[in-house]
This record gives sequence, C-alpha cells and structure tokens, in this order.
Amino acid sequence: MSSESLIFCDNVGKKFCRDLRKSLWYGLVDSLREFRRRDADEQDALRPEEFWSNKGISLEVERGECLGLVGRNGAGKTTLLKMITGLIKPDQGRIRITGTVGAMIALGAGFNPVLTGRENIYVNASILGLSTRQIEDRIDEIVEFGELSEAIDAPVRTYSSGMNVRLGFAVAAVMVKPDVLILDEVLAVGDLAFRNKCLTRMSEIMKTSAVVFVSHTSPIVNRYSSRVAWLDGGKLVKVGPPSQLIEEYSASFDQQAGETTSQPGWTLESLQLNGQCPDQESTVEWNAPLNIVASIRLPRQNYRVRVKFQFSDSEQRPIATAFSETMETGNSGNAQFEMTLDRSLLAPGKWFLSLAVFPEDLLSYHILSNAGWTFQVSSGRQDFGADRIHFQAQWTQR
Amino acid sequence: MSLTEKLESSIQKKAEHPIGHLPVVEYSSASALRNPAGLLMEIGVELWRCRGLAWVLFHRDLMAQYRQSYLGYLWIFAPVLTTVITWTFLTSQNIVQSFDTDIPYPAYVFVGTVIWTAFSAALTQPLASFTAGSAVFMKLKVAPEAFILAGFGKLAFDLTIRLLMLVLVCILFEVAPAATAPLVLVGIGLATLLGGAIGVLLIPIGSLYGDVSRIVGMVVAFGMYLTPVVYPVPAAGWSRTLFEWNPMTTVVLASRDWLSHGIGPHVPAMIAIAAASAMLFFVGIVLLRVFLPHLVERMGM
Repeated sequence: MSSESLIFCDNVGKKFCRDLRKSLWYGLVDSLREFRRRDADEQDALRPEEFWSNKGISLEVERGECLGLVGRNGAGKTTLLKMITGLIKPDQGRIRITGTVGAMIALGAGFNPVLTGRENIYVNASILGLSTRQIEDRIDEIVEFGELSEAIDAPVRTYSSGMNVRLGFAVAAVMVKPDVLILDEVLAVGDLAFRNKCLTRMSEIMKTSAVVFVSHTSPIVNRYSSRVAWLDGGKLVKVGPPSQLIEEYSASFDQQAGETTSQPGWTLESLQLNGQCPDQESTVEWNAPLNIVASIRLPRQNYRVRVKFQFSDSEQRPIATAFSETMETGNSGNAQFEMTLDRSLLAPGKWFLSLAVFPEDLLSYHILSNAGWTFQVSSGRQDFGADRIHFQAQWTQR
Repeated sequence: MSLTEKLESSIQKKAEHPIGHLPVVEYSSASALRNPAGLLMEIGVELWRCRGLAWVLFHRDLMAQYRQSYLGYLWIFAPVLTTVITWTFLTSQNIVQSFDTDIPYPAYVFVGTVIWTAFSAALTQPLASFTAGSAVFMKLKVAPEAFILAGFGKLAFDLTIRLLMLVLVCILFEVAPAATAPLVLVGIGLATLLGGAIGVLLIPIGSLYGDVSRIVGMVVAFGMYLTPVVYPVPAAGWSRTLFEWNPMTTVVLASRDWLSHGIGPHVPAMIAIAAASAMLFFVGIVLLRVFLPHLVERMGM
C-alpha cells in the first residue's frame, strides 16, 4: 500500500440479489448475523438468486489522482462507489479510506419542492455537512454559481429541471473540499455553458482530492482521469492509462453492433468504404475524400428510395448523417448507391457506420443496418481534443 | 476574498495537511459489535454532529407542512378534538353508557387523548422519518438519526400546541389544577419516550417490510381502547387484567392524578417504566447503527 493512498480496496467483493423478497429476507438474516459474526468472516457461498455484484476488486487512489470507472450498466460501478462511501459493507475484503469523504452522487438531496431555492440551499448544504454559519458565508456564492439570483426566493417546484440541477450542483460545488471525492454521472448538468462551468469547478476540486468517478462520456473520462478502471460483470477487467483503456473498452461494444433487418426480397450484398470492405483496420484520413458504395439486391421493380448513411462515434452516439434525395432503383433487381464526401470532417478515432434504405415516403424501411461497420479516422495532427467533428477552416489574421 | 482565492487558499491548506493527521476508516464484513466502545463513541459523535442537520430538517418539514395548507396548525389538535367530540356525543346521547369521572368528561377525554397521542405519534414517527429520509441516506453518508431527531422535534412542537389547548380546556371546564399539575409534562414526556423507544426498535424490520407499519397502525387504533383514554379502567374481568398489563394505563392514570389530585400511587411504576423505556431506546439506537448498512443495501434496490 502506497503511503499516499487515500482510497485502498483489497480484494473487495459484494453479493447482490435481484429477487426482492429474498433480498429483504437476506437483509434481515445479515442484520442478525452481526451478533454472531464478530470478526471479518468472509461469506463465500452464494445463496439462491444471489450473484457477485463486485468480486476481487483491488485498487488504490492517491491524492491528486483521478480514477475513472467505466463499464456497462450493471457492471458494479455504483455498488463499488457505495462501498467506498461507506453506505454498504463489503462481503469480502476490506476498504480503507483516509481523510474526509465527499460525494457528488445525488444532487439536490433533501430538496422540498414547496420551499424556496434559498431555503432548500440550507437543507441541501446541511445534508452535505455544512454548518449554518458556513452556509451563510457561502450562500451568495451558491446563488451566483447557480445563476439563480432572480428565482432564488421562489418555490423550487416552479423551477425548470435545468434550474433544479443548477441549484443542486451549485450547493455541492462550494462544499468543503474533501480528501476523497466520489462522483457519479453528475459531472455534466444543465446547458452547455453551465456544463463547462461545472467541469472547470470539478477539476479545481479534483486537484486536492483522491477522486473516483463514474461517467459514460468517454471524452470526459479521457480528459479528467489519470487512470481508468474498467469493470465488467462485477470484476475489474483492467486498470490503465485513459487513452488506451477507453479504446479497448469501446472496442468491446463491437460485439453488440451490426444488426441488419430488411424487408423480404431486399438484401445488402456488400458495402465498400474507399474501395474496401470496412473492418477494424480500415483507416480514413481526416479531411480526405470518403466514398461509400452499397450494393443491394431487391425485387425486380423500380422503387423510389432514399438512402441514409449515419456516422456514430466510439460510444455509438450518432454524430453525422448523409441523407440522399429520392433515387430510382431501376428494375434490374440490383442497385448500387454511392456516396462521396470531398473532405470528411470526422475527427480521428473510431467510427461506426449505419445504413438505411427507405421508401420515398419514409414511413417504413427496406433495409436497416445499425452500426454494422467500423473504421478508424487518423490524422497527423494531435491537437483535436474530444470533439467529434473538426472543420478545416481558412484562418487569417487581421 | 473571491471564490477563486478561497479555493486557492483551501488548496494550499490541503497541500500542507500531511496524511498522518487524517482520520482513517476501514470497511469490511466484520461486525460493528466487535468493538462496542468504538461503536458507542461513533453513535455519540454522530448524534452530536447531526444536531444542526436535525434542526434544519425539522424546520424544513414544519415550513413545508403548513405552507401548503390554509388551516395550518389546526391540524395538530384536530384529531384530539375529534376524539373528544365523538365520545362526548356518544356518552351525552346515551349511545354509550356515561362514565363516572372525577373531572368533566370532555376534559377527561382531552387529557387522556393528549397523552395517548403523544405515545402513538412517538411510536409511528421514527419509522416514518426513517423512510422519508431514506432517499437521502441511501445515496449520501448522512446520519439517519438526524431524520429521526427531526421527527421528534416535530412531535415536541405538536405537543406544545396540544398542551396550550389542554390549558384552555381546563379553564373552560373549570378543572382545578393540583399543585402537581406541571408534572403532566413528565407524563407526556414518558409517553413519548415509551412510544419512541418501541418506534426506534421497529425501524430495522419496518424499513424492510411494509407490513410492520400497517400492524403498528392497527395496534395503535385498538390499543387506545385498552388504555383509560376515553373511559376508566374496568372494575373487573379479564379486560381489567389487560389494562393493568398495559404500561400506558399507568402513564395516563398518573398524569390525570397529577393534573387534578396530587402525587398519587403511581410514582414507582412510572420510574420503572421510564428506566425500561430509556434502556429500550438506547438498544434501539445501537441496533439501528449496527444494522444500517444492511438496511441501506436492501432498501436501495
């Protein structure tokens, strides 16, 4: 164990039960077992309907370090955070936490919609551990940070959802800086401007804490983490540097992708990207031409169709689309649709390509292939950051 | 000092803070009971630390409760008045035989109901407060005792209002208070302690199974008729035995004596009930701490 480790998990395991009735019963049994089980006596056996929500997890986080937790839903991230926060006990192993713990897991805890924003600040901040005097000292900052000076004396139930989260974040953001900071998915709230403000504040707090945070937004994990831990099925798959690990993690999504559905008589024969069948190795240069040809077999009849290619980023979020005008298939039973971009502005990284062929009225589809192909975009430049589209612009100084 | 400056200075302070001075906690499957002294210390520290939060929560609930209501504080004594009016009506119309009471019957019912309500509200409040607060302490490390304390604060507030009503009722029905009348406060306090102790003991099982709060509701509704609230203790029969075994009988009888007669014969029994309640309450608070991680885990799913 390193001398500066504020978070230290040693072979941590936690059982979980999805059957509600059984779970409640186990809760009762485990409670009563507290009388018998004086020492750490590890319960290895799973009871009916139980499974390991976390198993064999060992990790350390030092001050100034930020560990990003990635993994699918149900991978055990929240369970791990709850154990680190001390809300639930591990069934196996041990966790040692040094220093004060702050958590930004539930924003706006204890808000009462009938009360005003100002009154709710007192409640929420008290829950986060601030004394009344500390709150009085900071209330103006909180209101200012949340950009809520006009609405602060109105009941919270009159707030928009954006105002609600801004208020919640503002309170959490000015809380006493903890030694250990736990963040779950709440980094980015509100509109774009407020999100940036949140991220800036988060990175200020992170400097002095040992941070563990969960996010499904890879660019954010990439930007803020010093290391990334990948959880899958309750086990730690890997811990490593963000850039490398996030790429591997994204690659694990490939197995899910590639579902094609089509109407009877319609088949996708082949798809070529810059003259080749796209695969993991296919590479396209940023700001270079991009050409895609889809060959389709269809009933011998002249159809009027529209074709759409969609580009999704490594997390399969749709980023860019090319949608054709109406085209005719001819009645040969075969058709080829070609799309050409003079210069592709897709940023370097991994991309998914989807194809859809619609009838002219767009009310149904002939062929739908969701994220069926992947390719890489590369570039000699390293300065692109996390945004997924990069323009090639003309720059002049005046 | 601007926000950035404050942040900078706090960052500076952190950097100067060597790791050796920081508190260390360890979480494992080991029972909290293996170190009883540490556990008691933790409970003490948490209770002391959460007093500010409890006050804020109490204040929040009070404001929220009456901001949405026109009749406001009337609701605090409306149930008591309902019982008094119901039973006065029933007896005055001879639907139910009238009872021989030493103070005017409505005042008699009022005193009994105030004491009984102190007990029954204290019995149901801890679980209600715990459940209401669970959304918070299932996600954040917050002492659930703060929510329970805030609940007791609400009980104290309601009792104060009812006591003021009691004074009015005594004046209205010309009940001459004895010198021991202020001791009624002790009676009400004891009813609250006894109810609260049972209520806190019920939290662990009650937070897991919804049946508990329903059973408690039924027992409280029936229990009022096994306590001399609206009529005296029966002169004979097995119902008398039931009354005698019910500790609330002693509390109600003693309080009525103290109000209008004098010290009476109930003092030793009251001391015994107080001691037992205090002990139960303590056990309840300790058990809640020990069981808490399991409750959070199972309530959270």
